[in-house]
Amino acid sequence: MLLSFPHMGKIHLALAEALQVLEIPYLLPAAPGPRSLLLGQELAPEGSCLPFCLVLGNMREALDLGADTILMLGGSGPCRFGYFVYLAEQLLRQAGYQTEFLVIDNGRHLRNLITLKKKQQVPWTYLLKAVQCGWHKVLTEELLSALEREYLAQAVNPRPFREKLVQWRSRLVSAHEIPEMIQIRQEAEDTVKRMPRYPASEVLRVGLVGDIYTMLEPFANNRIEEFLIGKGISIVKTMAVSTWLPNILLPWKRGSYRQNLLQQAYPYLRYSVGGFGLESVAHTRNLALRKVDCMIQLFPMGCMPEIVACSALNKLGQDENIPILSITLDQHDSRTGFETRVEAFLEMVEGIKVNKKALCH
Amino acid sequence: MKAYLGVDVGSVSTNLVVMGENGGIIESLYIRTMGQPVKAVQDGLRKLGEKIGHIVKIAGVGVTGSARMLTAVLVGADAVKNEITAHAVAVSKTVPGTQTIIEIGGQDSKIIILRDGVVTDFAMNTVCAAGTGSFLDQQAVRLNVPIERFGELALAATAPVRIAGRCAVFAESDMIHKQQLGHSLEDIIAGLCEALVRNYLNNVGKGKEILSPIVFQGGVAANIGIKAAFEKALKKELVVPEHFDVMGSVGCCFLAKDATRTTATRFKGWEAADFTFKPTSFECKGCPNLCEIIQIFENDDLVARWGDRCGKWSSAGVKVS
Repeated sequence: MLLSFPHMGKIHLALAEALQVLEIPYLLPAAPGPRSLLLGQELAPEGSCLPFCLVLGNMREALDLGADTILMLGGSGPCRFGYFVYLAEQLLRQAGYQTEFLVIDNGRHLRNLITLKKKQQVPWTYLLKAVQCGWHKVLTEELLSALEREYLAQAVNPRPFREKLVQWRSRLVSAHEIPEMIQIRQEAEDTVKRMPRYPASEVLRVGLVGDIYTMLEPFANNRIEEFLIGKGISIVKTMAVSTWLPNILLPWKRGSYRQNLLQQAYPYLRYSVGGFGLESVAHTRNLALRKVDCMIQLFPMGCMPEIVACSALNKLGQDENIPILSITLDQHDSRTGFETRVEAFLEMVEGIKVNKKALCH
Repeated sequence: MKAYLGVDVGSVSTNLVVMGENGGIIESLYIRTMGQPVKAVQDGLRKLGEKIGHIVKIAGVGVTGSARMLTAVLVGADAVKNEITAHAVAVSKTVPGTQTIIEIGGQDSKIIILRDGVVTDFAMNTVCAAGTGSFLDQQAVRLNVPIERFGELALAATAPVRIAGRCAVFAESDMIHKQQLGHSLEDIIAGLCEALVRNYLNNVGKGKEILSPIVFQGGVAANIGIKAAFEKALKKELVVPEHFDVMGSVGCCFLAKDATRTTATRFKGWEAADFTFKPTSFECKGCPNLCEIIQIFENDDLVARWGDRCGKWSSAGVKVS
């Protein structure tokens, strides 16, 4: 068995780490790029969203390299994503791939984990350690990314902070014990706390919301984080593998997670609208309280939940007096149009901010 | 005489404006891009240089439009800005008091909301370019009507037909079917104008507070049929400014003036019209990103490179003047 899995943000770190502990051979496909899109489009039904094409293409890349089993975390949520794995399975079979699928998600995850365990004959303690190690790895990397995008723009001396980030990341690559990963997280948090920073009010703060794949996968969001960080902007983003995964895998967390979201999204959304629509509204509300200057919502063309959220955000933005830019992404290769819109939006927000300050004085 | 040059290179047209120190427009040019931005810019420079090159001294250059990166290299720009900011600046300086800007260009349509001269909200079409200038151009060619006559034909309609404006492909098939059923050309064109306005208001203008005075600009503002359809739908009057078709360039002149307050201009001179600019491209195979790298050669010197995400190519081997 040669296991592989499609990319989504940093999720591969968790999976690779866990599989290493379990001593299961695995193959890591290249990060999604133009080639994945091409391969995905060939098989995907007309009108499929960008994430589906990319995931499918990424699976094909892995299979072409010799993988025979696809592991997928999630994939049966309440959107077209919910049908994701099953549709991908069908399409790949039809295209002649001999593939087995292991879905770790709602209902099927325990059974599939047991299958995996039996196949590899690993004891329970190993399985537990594997899950924990994977979890800590992705948690640490996502913490580093979150600190980077929020505080790099605020740092008075960004260079040492950037160097530190490189060091922590290279230490994380070779870290296989949980205490070490915890230590990296603590060091990073301490450094940021002690680092001289410009006050948050002096730096433009942008909140990002949208569906999970677009939020997490740089190729799907036109590398907006790199673009914003390059412009000296501080980014706040709530969506991450580590904030989403426990809530879908652990049944006892699911209820309170949903309840929380509904509370935050009220009265703009009172029900889940599928996908990550509820999250987008709830997170926007939350970030508005955390004093971001503006919000950017990104979603793939045809994403129903986000279209519903977009209307709710319009009202929310007016009530909370926070500018929101919604951008629909599709298979455009050129970034010019995207950058034009983001740049103009940021200039507008900056203008409003300067104007507000002038009025206050 | 000290003057500023604004260049807006869009999908359909390339516009050049020369503005005096006091904000007065000395000369403006509207050239069809025809898919050749380098040639269009150089043609424009040559024409302007011959006409007013001896009386004005360019003190600053601003560029905008979808080809702004390329144009910046070609002419030597002091300010490189997105179209939205350029249009907003132009209107707030030349039509003070404006609260709404409706701008429809070759491949973009946008709405900009201004309050007290500050942009407070804007929207731009994202995935669909239905109802923009290039689509109207295509339909004019298909119907064998000069685009300049589109507006007056629309006004001559007696019963505009219903056309789906949501998508350019749907709109075209609706138009063809209605024309095969025997509707008159005028009614079809008027129906198209109304459909495009409906599409604009439903998508770009959705949720925006459209207050008067409303300025209508961009190449499509020349079309009196679209203007009439907007006025009918909004029940408000639209103002089409004198330089409606080159407003982006006008904004660039103001931006160039701002950018050169304390520095000298980077303008390459009118003779840049005769430089040989040769863009080439290749795909970098260094990683899965497969970036398409563009290289610009000016008289055999490599003067700019872009398109890479990692920065490996951007600065390598580029001649710094």
